[in-house]
Amino acid sequence: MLEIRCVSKSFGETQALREVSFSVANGEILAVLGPSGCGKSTLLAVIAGLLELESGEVHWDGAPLTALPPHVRNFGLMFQDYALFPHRDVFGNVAFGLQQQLLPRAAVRARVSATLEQVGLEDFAQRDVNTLSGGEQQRVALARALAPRPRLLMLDEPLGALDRTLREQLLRELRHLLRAIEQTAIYVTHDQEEAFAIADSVIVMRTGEIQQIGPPADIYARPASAYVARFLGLTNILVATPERAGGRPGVQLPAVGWHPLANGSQQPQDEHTPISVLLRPTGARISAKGNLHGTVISVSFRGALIRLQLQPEQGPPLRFELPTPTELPVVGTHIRLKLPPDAVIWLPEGNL
Amino acid sequence: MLNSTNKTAYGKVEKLKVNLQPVLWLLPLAFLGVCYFYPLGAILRYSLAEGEHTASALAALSDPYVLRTLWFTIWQAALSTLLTLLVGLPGAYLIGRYRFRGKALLRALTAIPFIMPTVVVAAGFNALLGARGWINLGLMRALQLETPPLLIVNTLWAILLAHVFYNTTIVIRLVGDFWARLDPRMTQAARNLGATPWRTFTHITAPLLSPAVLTAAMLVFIFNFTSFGVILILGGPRFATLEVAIYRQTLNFFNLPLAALLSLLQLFCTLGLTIAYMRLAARVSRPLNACSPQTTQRRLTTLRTRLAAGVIIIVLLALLVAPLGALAARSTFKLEADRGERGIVTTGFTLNYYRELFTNRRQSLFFVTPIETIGVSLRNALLTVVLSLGLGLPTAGMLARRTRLGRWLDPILMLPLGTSAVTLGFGFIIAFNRPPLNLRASPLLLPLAHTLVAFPFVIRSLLPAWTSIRPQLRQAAAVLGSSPSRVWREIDLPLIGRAAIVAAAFAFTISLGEFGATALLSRPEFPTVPVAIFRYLSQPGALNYGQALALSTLLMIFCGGGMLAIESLRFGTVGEI
Repeated sequence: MLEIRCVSKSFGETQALREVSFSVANGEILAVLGPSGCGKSTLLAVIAGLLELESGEVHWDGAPLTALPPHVRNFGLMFQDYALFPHRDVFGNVAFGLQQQLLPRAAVRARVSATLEQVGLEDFAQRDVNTLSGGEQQRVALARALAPRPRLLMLDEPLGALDRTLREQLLRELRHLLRAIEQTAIYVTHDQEEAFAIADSVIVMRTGEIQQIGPPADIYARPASAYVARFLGLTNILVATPERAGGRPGVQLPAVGWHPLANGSQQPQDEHTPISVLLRPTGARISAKGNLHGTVISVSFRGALIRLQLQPEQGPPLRFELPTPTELPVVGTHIRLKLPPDAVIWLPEGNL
Repeated sequence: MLNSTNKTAYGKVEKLKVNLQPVLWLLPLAFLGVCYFYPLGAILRYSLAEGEHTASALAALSDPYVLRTLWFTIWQAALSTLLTLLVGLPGAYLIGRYRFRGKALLRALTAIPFIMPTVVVAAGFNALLGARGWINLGLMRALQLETPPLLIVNTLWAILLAHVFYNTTIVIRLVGDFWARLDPRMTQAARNLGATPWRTFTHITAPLLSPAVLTAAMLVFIFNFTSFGVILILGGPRFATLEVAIYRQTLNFFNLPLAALLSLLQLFCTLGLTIAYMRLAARVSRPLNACSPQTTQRRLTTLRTRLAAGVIIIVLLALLVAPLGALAARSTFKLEADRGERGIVTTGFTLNYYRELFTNRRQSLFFVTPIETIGVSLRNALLTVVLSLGLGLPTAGMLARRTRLGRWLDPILMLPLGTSAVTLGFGFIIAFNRPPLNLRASPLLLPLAHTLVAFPFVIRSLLPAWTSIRPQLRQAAAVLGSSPSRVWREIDLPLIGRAAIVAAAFAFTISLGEFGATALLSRPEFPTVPVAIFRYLSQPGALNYGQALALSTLLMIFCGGGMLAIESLRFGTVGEI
């Protein structure tokens, strides 16, 4: 089990990591999600021992790693641009880590071919890595990192350089493989779909700080801040005043009126101080008795659902995904939407 | 964005080495300062400040001899370039647009002229078309003639032919590669819009290709403009380009001020041409809508295309292989009487010419046996390898860091590439024949000149290896369990080592075959192989001729070996020049 305690690291003026703490259990896949420049790669380099940390500690199964050089940590790191050794063929690349362990030649050969088979490159052992396609290079890099059976595998944007369709296919394979061998892993990405698809839990990072930790479903259901919500593509963020009605916690929303909050036990303490809330884009439907009314700005038909942009009488435009109604709403007309009871979520961590 | 953040994340230890940088740059800069700028300065000084020509430095430019030489240099280069395009463009089309069996071999064969010394090529054409060559001796025997019927050597035709041999490859490679990546949908769109095939070619394909064709033509023109060995050996005494004129004025007439003036003229011309070439080449480096050759190339299906392809392939093979084949064959065949031999001459296979390399005849031109010239050349080549790697390894390492200073110095390091070898040799003669640097008798003089010629090639072979060693590679090895010393042994050393061998092969073969600077600088008691070949070729007698061919064949084998080493050791596109 990996434990990161209060780790900080800066490059000159810029603070790349600010008191970052988390842990990864054995067999768990943790995704670190954030935009470029948020400190994700620095975090991996610190864990791998490639960068010295300024303060804080990195532990494995309770033992501190700080003094260990990278080559004795037995962690695997898959680099974003793969960093394949251009002077070694596919076999030579995958065998490299095993050769460092001074395994007998036959064992190396057996393990390399087993690993190549795992990543679907059985017949590629003798190929020159400079002639491989992007997807093939990615698989070689994965095989190279996996072959020495690292205690922890770190993947730095492993699919970042590939096109969309290939990315989805490789993501499925990668998830299947990591689950099958119960690999403890840290998966760094800026793509929330990748992070959600592969991880047991997700860390959302912003400028060196952890914004939220939790299982993917929890993070999506209850973003901690407007920043996390926006990063996940949830843009209907409004300022509202908390107000209890009949003992139930809720808010007065502009253009809607009173609406309950779906945060469960966690509720704002102070009534009358404005708070940020997220209006969920899903679950609403068009209804004459709806409580949200506004002018249709745009409608885009997506098959089973439509995407609707609505300008309420007050506040910013809002986006919704609705089940496709029998009659499509017309741009410029006035409509009413009925929001589901769990449509409004309080964003406790600040306004941005 | 992503990359730049990664660099800050993984790139450590960079700061430590920065302070050493200016010190390490001193090495190549001192070398260029002493061996390049100092001799060029000497040329300038000589042509402007000395002798009675001073007052008339500009007047000498209108001297009929200078003007005639310049004019011949220009028009022979232009004519050679035109003929090269005529032969090369069909070849470029075939190689760029079609897939066929044996194409890889054909492409490999086109690498031959890159590495073959001029003396070898000249000897090859001599063995094929010369008065004692296969064709003339064959015709004389068949038609019972007393004199050789085909007088090509020592005419303009021999010069043109050798220039076409040398430069067709450039057209095929530059234009062919560009053509291969040209999007076929452009011509399809034109046809779809109603253009005839001819109009499609003139309005679409030709304009799209023109930057590549112009660039290739410019490069070919530069090579022809600075042609030396071909003119001197195959053209005979009647023809002189600026290069040959510099050589003759220096060695035959000892008119150093005139040679200096010619060198200055040559320097300005090559500098201007090189700048023009760089501008053109920059435009070709990024073609619009580059396609993978796999999508643009077709098979030879119709009878007409097959016939045309067959003709092109035969012409290319005849051009590239015939002279070298004729050379090797002629060096082991006795076809005519040796000097003093009377009666019936037995013709046939012989190793006599090779045996003669070990004997020092009384009529020998030198104080040494021909085989000893090989020793001289090998010693020079080894010294050149040591010098150019010693300079090139740290220099390429610093260029690979892409600092601002490095980007600024890079073109300066490439300057020797744009300066003709004869000019360099002449500069050496007038710069190093007196204090403070009297190197005239030093065994280092030729290796230094050869290092200067080889330096740009060495840098360009080493640079990709240095740049491919990114910090990520070392880190990947460390994470996979390599200790720092093992990282150096398994990552840095093999990557650099292989490139170093390629660079060494370049330096070695360039030094072995170098003729322009060597012709001016080599001392009579220690002739190099090319100098010896030139001397033997210009002497009468079947034995001298045979010795020249035998030496040329050996040189050809050495250089071919060097080329094989270069081609087989570089990996992927690394080391491509």
